[in-house]
Amino acid sequence: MENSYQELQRQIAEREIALEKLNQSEERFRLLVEGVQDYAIYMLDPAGLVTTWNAGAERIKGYSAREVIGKHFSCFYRPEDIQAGRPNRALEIAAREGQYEEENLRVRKDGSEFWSSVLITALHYSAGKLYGFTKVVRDITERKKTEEKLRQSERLATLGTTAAVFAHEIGNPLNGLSTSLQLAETLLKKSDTPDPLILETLQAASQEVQRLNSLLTDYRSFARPLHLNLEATDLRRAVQEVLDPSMRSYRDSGIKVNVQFSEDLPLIRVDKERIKQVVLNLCKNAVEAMPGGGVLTFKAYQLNDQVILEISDTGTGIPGGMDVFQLFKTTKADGTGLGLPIVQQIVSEHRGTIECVSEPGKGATFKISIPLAIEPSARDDL
Amino acid sequence: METMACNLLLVEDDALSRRNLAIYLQQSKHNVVQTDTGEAAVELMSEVNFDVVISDLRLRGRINGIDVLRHHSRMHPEKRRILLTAFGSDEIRAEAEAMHALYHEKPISMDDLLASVETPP
Repeated sequence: MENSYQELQRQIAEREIALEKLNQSEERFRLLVEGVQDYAIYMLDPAGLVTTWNAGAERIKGYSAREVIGKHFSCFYRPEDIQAGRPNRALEIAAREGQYEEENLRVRKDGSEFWSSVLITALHYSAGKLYGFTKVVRDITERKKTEEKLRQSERLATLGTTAAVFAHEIGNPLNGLSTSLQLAETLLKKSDTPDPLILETLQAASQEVQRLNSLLTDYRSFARPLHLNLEATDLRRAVQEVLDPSMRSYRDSGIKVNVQFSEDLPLIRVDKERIKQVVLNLCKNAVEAMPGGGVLTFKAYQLNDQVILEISDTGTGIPGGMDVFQLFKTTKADGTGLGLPIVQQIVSEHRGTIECVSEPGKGATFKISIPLAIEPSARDDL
Repeated sequence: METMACNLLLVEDDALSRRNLAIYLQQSKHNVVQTDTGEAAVELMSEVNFDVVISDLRLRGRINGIDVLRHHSRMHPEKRRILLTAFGSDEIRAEAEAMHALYHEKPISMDDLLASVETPP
């Protein structure tokens, strides 16, 4: 009897020690997960409601545990993704396959978007019933930016090499054609009674050659070696020089120009003529996107060590999913699809970046960031 | 004003362009000798004293347009030279300027080319 009582005591003590060890290990694990800063690690119940939340999740997504626990995890998705049913589809796939993985845009509490790498793992009771999901999310925005930059520079390098060959192979026959037309016109004009219909035909053909040539000239500008003629430039003046010749035609087509430059905008060290080309190309697009009139807005301001120039229109906008910087991609019937790739090339020659935000039907904004480097002498001029 | 007729050497390997430019310049009363290679051009320059040499940059042989014009500039630094190119660059422009050659990009405006030919060096 006494032996059996002692045996029981011993078993209870052993169990308590094991339980204590388990509790300690669970506590350690909880502290580990909660303390991870670089990854959002949290759990969902089978319906997709958030049940746990770690420090990384708070840092990446902006919600505190109190705010988010009990909420459906679709609040991290963009509205269009929710509409497309993506949150629930992800859970369905994870439940069925055990795991779901993707890289996509997500939304923070403040509404800003970020690139995330997401892994959802389904958790089951030992009997097989679904217990919930773990989610591990990483902010990969920086990596995506680097990848995009690399893609851009690779694209430009390819362009450079093909453009050189192309320009030559097309340039020579085009020159033959162009000089033939010029010669025919000259010879015709020497006669006492040149046939006006022939003259008109030749001139029409010459105009087409001219059109081909400007396409070629644009294309060729990709292949030119980079020789930036850097000088301290007043961005406001550069923009004004682009706008001045067109102001009347803007007014006539019902386009209001709105220039908002911050008062203390510093000079920037850029190739003024190339930056004017950037402004000109963006203006052309903006104006063509507003056939019924609208507002063309220029904003420029300093942000840390960058100068930001934003050019916005209130026009038709850019169709969703379109990469406007892709070569020969255009929405315009007579566009060449070279204007924006050239803009992008010039901006990246200045070690800057350009991005485009557009809402179809409401217009588009192009935001250019150029690193600041002010010459002391230029600053004295101010 | 009547300009003096010049002795021109035209070096261009694109047959149609060469023909057109030659006819145009001849119509303007200049004497035009044509060839399609740098080698032939150098040969011709040793026989004839050309007032103006017009050469395309890229030529089929081993002697290119810059070489042709450089040769001419050594023989007759005071004479006029014109470089034609379908694909220019700042370097090429600088090289052309170094030997006092004018520089025209294709497609060539024949009026502009004629003006270059008839402008005194």
